[in-house]
Amino acid sequence: MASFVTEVLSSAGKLETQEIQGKIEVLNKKLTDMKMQVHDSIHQQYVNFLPRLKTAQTLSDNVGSLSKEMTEVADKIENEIKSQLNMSTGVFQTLNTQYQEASEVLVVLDKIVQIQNTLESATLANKSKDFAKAAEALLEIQVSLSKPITEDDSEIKILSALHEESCVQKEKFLFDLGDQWKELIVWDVSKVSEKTGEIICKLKLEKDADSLESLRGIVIAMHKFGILESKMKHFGNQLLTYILNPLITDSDCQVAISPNSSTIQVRYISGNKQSTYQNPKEVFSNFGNILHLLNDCFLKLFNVDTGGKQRYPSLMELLGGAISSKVLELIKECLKAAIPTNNSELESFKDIVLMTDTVHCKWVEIHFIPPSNNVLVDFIQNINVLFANKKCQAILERARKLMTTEIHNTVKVSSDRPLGELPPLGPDSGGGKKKRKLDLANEVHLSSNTFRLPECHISVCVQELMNVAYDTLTEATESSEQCAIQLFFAVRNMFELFCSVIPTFHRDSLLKFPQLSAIFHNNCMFIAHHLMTLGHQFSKNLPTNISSTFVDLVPKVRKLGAEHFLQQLAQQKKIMTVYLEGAKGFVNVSDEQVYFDAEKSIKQTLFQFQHLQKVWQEVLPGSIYRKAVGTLMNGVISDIVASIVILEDISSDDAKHLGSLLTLIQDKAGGLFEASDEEGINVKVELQRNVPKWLRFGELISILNASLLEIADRWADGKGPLANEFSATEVKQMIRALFQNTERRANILTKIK
Amino acid sequence: MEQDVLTTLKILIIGESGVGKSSLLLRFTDDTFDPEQAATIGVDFKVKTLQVEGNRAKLAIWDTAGQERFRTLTPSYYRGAQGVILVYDVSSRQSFSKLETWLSELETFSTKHDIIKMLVGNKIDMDKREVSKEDGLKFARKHHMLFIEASAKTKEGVQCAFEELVEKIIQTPGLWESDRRGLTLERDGNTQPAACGGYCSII
Repeated sequence: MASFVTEVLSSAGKLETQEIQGKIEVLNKKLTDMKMQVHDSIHQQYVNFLPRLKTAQTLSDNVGSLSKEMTEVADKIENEIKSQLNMSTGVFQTLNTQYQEASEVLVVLDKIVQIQNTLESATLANKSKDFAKAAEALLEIQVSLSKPITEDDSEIKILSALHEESCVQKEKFLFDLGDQWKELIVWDVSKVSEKTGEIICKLKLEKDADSLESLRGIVIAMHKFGILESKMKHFGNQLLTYILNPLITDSDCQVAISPNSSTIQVRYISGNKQSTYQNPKEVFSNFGNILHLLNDCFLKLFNVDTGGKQRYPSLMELLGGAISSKVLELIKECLKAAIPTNNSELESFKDIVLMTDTVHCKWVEIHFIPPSNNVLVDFIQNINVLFANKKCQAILERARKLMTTEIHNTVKVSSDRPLGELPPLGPDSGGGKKKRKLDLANEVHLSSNTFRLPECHISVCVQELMNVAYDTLTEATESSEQCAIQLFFAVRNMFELFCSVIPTFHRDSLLKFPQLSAIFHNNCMFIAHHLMTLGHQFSKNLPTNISSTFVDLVPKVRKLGAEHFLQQLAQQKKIMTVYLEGAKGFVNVSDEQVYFDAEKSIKQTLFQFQHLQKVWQEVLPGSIYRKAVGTLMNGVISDIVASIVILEDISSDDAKHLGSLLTLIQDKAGGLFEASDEEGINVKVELQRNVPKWLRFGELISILNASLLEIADRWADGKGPLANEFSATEVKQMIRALFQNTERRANILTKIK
Repeated sequence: MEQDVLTTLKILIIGESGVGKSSLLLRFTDDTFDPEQAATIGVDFKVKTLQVEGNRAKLAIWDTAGQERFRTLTPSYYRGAQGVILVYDVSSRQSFSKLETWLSELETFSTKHDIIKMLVGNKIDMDKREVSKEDGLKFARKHHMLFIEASAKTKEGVQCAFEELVEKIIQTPGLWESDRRGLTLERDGNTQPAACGGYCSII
């Protein structure tokens, strides 16, 4: 089998190999064909390439040569044409510059000619007094010259020359203007006499048509040059200094205004005297006339010019602008001075108020003051305040003047109505209150002297001061509320002023002179006395919103008076003490020299007391006088007793001398309390009342003069008067000093305890 | 003599002005009388030794001013007084009616609560009498006072008034001994009132 298969298989292999072989032969054949074809194609390509390359190379060469040629030609063209172009542009520019220069020169020349012409015309106009035209011309030149004509004017010499010339012309012109102004508005200020300082001021204005015309020219010219305002200011100031000021502030000033010759003449005395303000009516009328005249002859000139588009201020406005504020101030002062100080005159002052209103309107009308300026009207409308202010000022001035006058001029005030009849209290409003008052009055009877000021002397000026206070308050009750309040406070201020002015102004004399301090004391008490009721007296008729009282000032015023008087008492006490030091403690007074000294010191003391009596007794209220002298006396005798009580040894001679020395005081002291005009004054009583140590002093004298037995009786077992005044130790000390050491003395001494 | 003095008594004389206080005193101390006796100013002082029932007492007598305006230092002279003589004028009703006021002042200022008071109706020599003895006696009784009528001018009753007062003071224990400690006095049987006056104290 296998073989078969092998056979089959080998047969099939053989078949296949045969088939492959056949196919390889076909393939070889095809390959050879292909080789032939590739060879042909390659050959064909390479053979044709070379000739083409050669052609291309040739063409490239041709192109290169051609472009080279073209470049050359372009270069050539460029070089030649550009140079030619440049040349022609340069020529054009040169020509152009030349043209410009020529035209500039032409302008300059033209301008110069123009300036020259104007200059000439200005000179001409100036000569013909056509100031307005001249001014215009000069201004034109100025305008022309102010703008640079060329870029470098400085190189043109003629321009600077022209500039100079125009300046000169201008200055000359202004100078001429001033001259002309002065010729037309003439000031003449001359001193009439050196001695009196009298001065006449004359303002003369030329009034004829020519002058007016030229003045007008001047004004316009000045306006154009912008100097009108300062000129008017100057004129205004002159007017103010020479005419208006004297007119207002000097009531002796004489004014003569003559519209015909258009002259204002003022005659017054200059100097540093005080202003005496003229009556406002007079001032207003004079003022009216002066302004009218000025307007007629001068100020109206410029009004014509106001028609133009731009409104220029008129001369009156300029004048007003220059001086109106000062004039208003002056007039205010003048009105202030004329403001009355009492109600009755206030009525008549209303005329002046009306007049002021009229004047204000008129001044606004003529543009002397702008309509917005209400200074004068506001001022005068405030008349009530002004009145009150002035009144208060006057009151305080008066009060101060009174306070600085001598206080030693005195007047006696008695217990009843020191100021005469006082204004009655207002009708009693509260009926119930009154009834209560009556009830009280029935219950308790007060002495009619309870609320009276005791009789004493006060300064005349203080009485007047009080009168001023009453008068002012009375006036306040009749015034407007505002005014009343101010017046009331003025009165209060017046008393405050009193508290500070008097002690300061009279400080030295109050300390030096016992009488003055006594008077001042009275003055204060007098014022305090009135201040207690002053408020109630008027409160019903014063505005209710102020508490119209003065009682708060009462303690202050009283304290002031009391303090000053006490200060004086202390001063006097010091003086007495110095005198008593001369007695050297009353030791060994039986010695002649010691006695002499001691007597002298006591006499000096008594002399001082008598002096005080002379200056005080008449002035002070009796009780105050006695209290004051009593207090001083008490000081003196206390000192004396104190120095005697401590003496260790008193010989019987010493005792006698001491007794007589002390009796000197005892005898004279009563006299200090004697009063000629006061009834019911017993000097012994007054001594005991006002000199607390008087009894002690008396006991001392009796001891000095007494025997041992008498002393014992006076002691009376501690039940006698001696025991009332001296302690047992003191008495024993004195007995030991006075008496020899005896059995009797020892006996008595044991009894005294 | 002095050693015998038992004590010193402070006596005060008060009453309206012009009733004769000073005259009574001067009649008693100096045995004088001045019809024109001046008004007392402030206070007067006299010392007199008096023998009463065998005892010697020294009297320190303070005569005060009756006039209001002459009075000074009122409280000081009341201090320590053991007896007071309150005087009125029998010829002046007004002086009698003022007694209440004087008593009230005395109450106010006296420092001893058991002070002995003697009411004296002075000037019985005068013709025009306005206060009867009965009125005086009644008033004295009401206020526990000794009472006597007297005349400084005629001496009548003056000595008696002082003696009665002193006697009563001495009889009152605690009123004067405190001044002299350690020395007390007991005398029974001397307590009956004198014939010349009426002692009206209930005690």
